[in-house]
Amino acid sequence: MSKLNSDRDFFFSQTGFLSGLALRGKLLSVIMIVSSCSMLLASSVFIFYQWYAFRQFLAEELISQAEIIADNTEVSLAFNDPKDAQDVMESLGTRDSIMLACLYSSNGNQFAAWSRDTAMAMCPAYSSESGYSFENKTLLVRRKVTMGDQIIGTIVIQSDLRELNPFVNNSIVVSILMLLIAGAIAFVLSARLQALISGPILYLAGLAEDVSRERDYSKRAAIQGNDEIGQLADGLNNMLARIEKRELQLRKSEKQLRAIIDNTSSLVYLKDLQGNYLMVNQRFADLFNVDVNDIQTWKEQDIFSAEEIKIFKENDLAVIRHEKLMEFEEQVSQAGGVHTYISVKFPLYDENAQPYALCGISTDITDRIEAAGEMRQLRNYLSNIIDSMPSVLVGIDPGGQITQWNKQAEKISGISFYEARGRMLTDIMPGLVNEMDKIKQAVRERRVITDNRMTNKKEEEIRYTDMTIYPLIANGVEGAVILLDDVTERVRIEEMMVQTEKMMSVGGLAAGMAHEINNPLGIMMQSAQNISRRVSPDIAANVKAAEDCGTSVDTIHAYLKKRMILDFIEDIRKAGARAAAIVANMLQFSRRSDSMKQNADITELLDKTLELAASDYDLKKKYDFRHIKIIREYEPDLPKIPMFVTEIEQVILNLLKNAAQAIAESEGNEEPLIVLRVRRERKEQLIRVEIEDNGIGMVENIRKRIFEPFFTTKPVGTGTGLGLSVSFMIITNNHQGKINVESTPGRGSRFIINLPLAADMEEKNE
Amino acid sequence: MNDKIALLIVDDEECLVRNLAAYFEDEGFKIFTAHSGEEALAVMAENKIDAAIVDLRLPGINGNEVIEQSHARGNKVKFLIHTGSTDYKLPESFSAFGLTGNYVFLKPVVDMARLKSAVLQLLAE
Repeated sequence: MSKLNSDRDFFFSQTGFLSGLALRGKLLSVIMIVSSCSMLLASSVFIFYQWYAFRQFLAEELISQAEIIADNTEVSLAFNDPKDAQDVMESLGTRDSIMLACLYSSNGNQFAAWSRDTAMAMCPAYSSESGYSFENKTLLVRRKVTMGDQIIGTIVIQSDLRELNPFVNNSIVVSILMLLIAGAIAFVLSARLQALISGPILYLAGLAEDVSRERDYSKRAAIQGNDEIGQLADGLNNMLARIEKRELQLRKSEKQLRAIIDNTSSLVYLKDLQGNYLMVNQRFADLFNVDVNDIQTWKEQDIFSAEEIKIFKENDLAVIRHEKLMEFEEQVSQAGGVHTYISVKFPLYDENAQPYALCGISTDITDRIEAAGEMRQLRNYLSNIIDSMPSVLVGIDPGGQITQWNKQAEKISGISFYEARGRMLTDIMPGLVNEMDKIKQAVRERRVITDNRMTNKKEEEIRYTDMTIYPLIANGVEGAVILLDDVTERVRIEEMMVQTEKMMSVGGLAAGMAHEINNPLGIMMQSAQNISRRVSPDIAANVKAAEDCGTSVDTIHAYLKKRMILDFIEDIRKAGARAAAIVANMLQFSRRSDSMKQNADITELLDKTLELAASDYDLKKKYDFRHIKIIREYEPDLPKIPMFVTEIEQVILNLLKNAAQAIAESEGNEEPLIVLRVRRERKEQLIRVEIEDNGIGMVENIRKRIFEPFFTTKPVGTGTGLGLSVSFMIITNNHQGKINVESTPGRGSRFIINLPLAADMEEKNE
Repeated sequence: MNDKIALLIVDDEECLVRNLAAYFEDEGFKIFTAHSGEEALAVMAENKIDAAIVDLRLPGINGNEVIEQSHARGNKVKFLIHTGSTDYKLPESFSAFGLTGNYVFLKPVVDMARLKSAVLQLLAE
């Protein structure tokens, strides 16, 4: 409508002249206005015509009157009888409208005159013209008076127009009557006939209204015809068809959308900027038990706690403020506890690009979080397992680059996983260069390959490593896991067990033989002792027995001495003693410490061990023990201390051997010297034993580690690395004592053993 | 030497008994000998014995039983053990009659003087 021109605007615009009227009224008004105008025009023409015609009629009538007068006054004029003319002219008085009559002679002089109102009467100026004119609401007629062909005068008659007015008035009345009648007829007719036009339009209007009200776009206008209304109907129908189609599509897509929204596992909702819900999906409604269709029947407060609402509001406001899609983690307590949602929120814009609402899509990720937590826990658990393994665990890809590197690997290599990741295994563990072929083989052949007891020397110490290569073949993960176990301890223990086994078997043999050997040895040596004694002059019984035999003890003794028989006897004794010592030592080494502690004199034990050391093959041959000067600095009257004699003996022997070895290794010019010191530390209630040599000594690095099991400075194969560690164990563990060492490289070492006095022994000896 | 110490030597090995007897006779002891546990008990029952040097491995009852039975009979004989058994463990109960580890001698005893001093020490206790 707005596009129509201004003329039409005047009638049809919402603010125009007929704006207040319905179509029917408008049509009626138009018809009535048009017909009224035309009728008014016709009436006006009619009235004018009537008026004009009547005036002509009046003029002609007055002319004929004037002719009559002229005819009648002809004689008067001719005979110059004004009186007669006067009389004739007075006949005019019968007609009310004639106001004045004047008769002029041919020379222009007034000949006779008559007027209805003499006072007013005044003849107009003479004119010889004939004719009529309307002047000052009067009609003036001039007529020549003729006699034969001679003009003898002029008659003038003036009449007013009183006869005209009633006639005109009548005409007007008639016209008005006609107008009214015609108007009424026109109204009645147009009232009926306008329906021809307005009917279909109203029908269409009603249809349009129905459609828009009922939103039923399947309605169609049932109007046929080729006129504009028919076209309008067709147009409307087409439009409706199109709308219907679009509506169907729209409804379909809305249904799809709704189905998607309602069936998604997420909560979907729209809120206005005040936080009121505009729409929620079915899942939302089901979860919080609200009506999806009737948003107004429930409030946010019915569903969520104040705290939750506060957080939602903050998040919503952030989205509106930043005008962008944002993600939040929101927590909602619902049936079954607190659930965590990941909420995607974004603003919705109106046609002016202003945000008018907020859409939220919240997905319950509680399970996912739990699963992630479990997975994290599992991962931690696994990595804890991997990290707490005492083994070095290294994962590599097929190219040999490190993918896994556990704590033990970090500890052993001093390289963190962060540094090691992605680097070549052989760069970080050069010791494995030779093993790469095996690793490749394991991956290629998809089998576990083990390589036991790989040796490597680390700070003067031989260490053993077991390597196991597990190819990774599951889940398309290529590569291998390499497990490195430091089995040094185990290997050493195995070695020790083998050694112990050997010693035990020797010891067992010795124990079996000991009794059988010791008895004869005892007889031998005691017999030798008795022989020596019974040839001795010092014993009274010998003297008597010699006398009984007719000789003297002195003679016998002199003879025996002369023939070196006494020396031979002494040789028997010594040889026996040596044999006994060997058996005893063998027994002592074989005997385990299951026998009870004995109270022993430590100095006695030291001397005994020195004796033993002197007869030790290694000490004798390799270290030339006999040429080492032994100095004993024993405090006198020491109490006995409880000990496993064989064990302490073993410790002392070991220390003596070490001392001899250290002396042998030193190239100094000093006289080889071992000092044995024993003194009582009264305050600490212990006996302190020192074994000092002037050998090669040792550096601090070695000194610190010397009691560690299997630590050895000797070439591979010559030492077990056990000696000092066993000594350490015997002293500290079995005797609750202490052993340590002081050393200066090139000057010698001093081992110090502290052995506690037994509490009861202490009292007894005091 | 009016009052000689009466010493019983118990061993199944005749050579050993003879040697010990010869040594202690020379040292002025009054010697009794036995070659089995039963014989030893009989000797101790018939004579007043001050001390006894007892081997453990004996035919019949062994040395330990000899010591136990002797004490059970109320004899006041002091005992020394002289054995070839390297794994001998002294019964704890023997310490009640003053028999401790110091009086256990493992064969061979090279110098019999050790036995004599031990006997004297034992009797002095």
